[in-house]
Amino acid sequence: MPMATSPSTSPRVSLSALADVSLNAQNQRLMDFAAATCRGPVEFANRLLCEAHNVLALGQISDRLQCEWIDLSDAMRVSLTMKVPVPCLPNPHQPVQIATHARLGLTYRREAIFTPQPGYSFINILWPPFVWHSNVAFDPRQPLCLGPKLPANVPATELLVQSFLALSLQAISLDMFDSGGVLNPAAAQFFQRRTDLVPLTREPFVIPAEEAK
Amino acid sequence: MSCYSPFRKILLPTLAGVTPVARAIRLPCYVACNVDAAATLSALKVFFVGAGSVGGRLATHCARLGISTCWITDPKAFKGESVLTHEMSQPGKPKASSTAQRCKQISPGTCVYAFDGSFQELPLDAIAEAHLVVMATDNLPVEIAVGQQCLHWGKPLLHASVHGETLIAHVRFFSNTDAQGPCPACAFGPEEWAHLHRQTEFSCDGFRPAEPARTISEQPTRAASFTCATGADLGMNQLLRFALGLGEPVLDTMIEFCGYRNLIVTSRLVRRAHCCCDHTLFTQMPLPRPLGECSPSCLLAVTGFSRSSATFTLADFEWVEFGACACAQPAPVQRFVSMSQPALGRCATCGAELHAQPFFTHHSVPAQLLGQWMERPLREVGFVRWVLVRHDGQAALFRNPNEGKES
Repeated sequence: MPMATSPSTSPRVSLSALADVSLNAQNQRLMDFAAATCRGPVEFANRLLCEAHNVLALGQISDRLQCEWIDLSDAMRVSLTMKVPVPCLPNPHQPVQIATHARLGLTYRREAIFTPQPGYSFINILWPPFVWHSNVAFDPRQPLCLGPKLPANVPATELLVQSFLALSLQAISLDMFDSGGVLNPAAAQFFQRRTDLVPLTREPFVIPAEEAK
Repeated sequence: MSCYSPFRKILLPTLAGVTPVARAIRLPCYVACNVDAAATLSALKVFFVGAGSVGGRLATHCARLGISTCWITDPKAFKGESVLTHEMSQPGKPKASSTAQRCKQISPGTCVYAFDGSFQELPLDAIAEAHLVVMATDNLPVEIAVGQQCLHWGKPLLHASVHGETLIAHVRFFSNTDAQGPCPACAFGPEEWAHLHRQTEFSCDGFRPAEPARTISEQPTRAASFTCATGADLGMNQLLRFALGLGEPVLDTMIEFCGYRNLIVTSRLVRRAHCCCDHTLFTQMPLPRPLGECSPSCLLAVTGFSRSSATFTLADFEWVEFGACACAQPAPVQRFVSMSQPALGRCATCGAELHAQPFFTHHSVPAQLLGQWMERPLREVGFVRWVLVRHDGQAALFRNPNEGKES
């Protein structure tokens, strides 16, 4: 049975029941467009459609994400905006700035269903530039590393929750001698010194309903 | 073997070896064999995935039969405990190269290639020249990857494995002649999928209780040497029956030897209705003219696929829609870029170095994104070895005619 998803209604939907969430009109349009561009073998196409639905449903129930577009033509590519504090260093002579949201590019390739993938292969930060984070490479592509190797068949929604936790510094790798996750050693050293900045927020991924109002 | 292949040809300069005549004398006259066994075996090309306690034995057995060509791939090296299960063991040495050298020593006339890396690192056309693929690996992602490639290329696949605790040896033979046929993943149960997600490796390197605990992803196969040898020997018997057409057809069958009961059971392999693997066969299409002179539009016309839902995959190239530089907005690139030389030059706006943005980079690109590139000859992209055109459940492959020839 479809579940209500408006942030003002309660109770909230469990993250494990995203498949049952009925999409709102805007997300349904995105989903319809994604379905129209979805190609390839039917089993893989169905899997991508399911992942796309869950990502849109996650955005609905959490009020944390806003999907801009979804492309399922060869892999699942989702461009989305996430409400999350992001540390940036556009000028090395000035203090670290905190952006209030990030535009992320999520790429979920077919291989990810069967084969463990490197942790940097799923998420690219498209905005803001100059992200200053130990798990984000300080180069224009800005891949976000979620671990040395992520298990096969990891759900796309889990990647987004992990991205939120990483960007808000709730889950962060700072040990430069542990190769898993650290893509910017200078930022790792910086946050080792500035523990007052860690984490940037203690908010949960799903924004409480009263705050969402 | 293409000059782009990562395989290394094994060359051993001073070899006595066994002459083809001597080998032919030793070869039995198989009952009810309707082909020239010696000639058939000497023309056989086999691709081995895994050179461990089972795969290594299979490779050396094939070398003793004097096959034409073999490729051996395995990313691992021998360990001290390999001596417990493997036919040969040189701790620290890579398994693929060592086994390949052994094969070359046994059969100097065989072209032997080795790659000390994993199967997933190989290009799509790595198995294109093989008549048969033999798989004896220790982890499930490789099984899926090999099964997929063999299905795409329509290559028969022999999969040998053992379960030491129950003295069981399995040999599965996938025909891959039909998209409706079975693949290795079709037989996966919930336990296999769970192992796959946990990244378990069933290492054949043995197990010593005195050793410190291994990583969670590695589960040593506790099989005795003779059980591995049984698996290899059963596999070899199936291989020979397939190559020479001996007895009942072995395609799409599984044989299971149970050591506890000395019983062999043969059963049919069938496709799971909702197997999540891609069961698409690549149909090799004739080229209207040299590949470099063809445009994507021309190839699409040959296939008859609809432009609206077709995708193109070019060997060694990726389509970069947008690049990343110092500009606030991603810079349009919209062209194919070589995967080995991904330099895009500098951004015309900010002057900074332009990188391919992975989020906007397509390994398989929809025809609708190609724009004017649809009409431009592929030589303008670079040297393209092959092009794969896909459309829903169909795929057409265009290869340069000189691909696969000895370089």
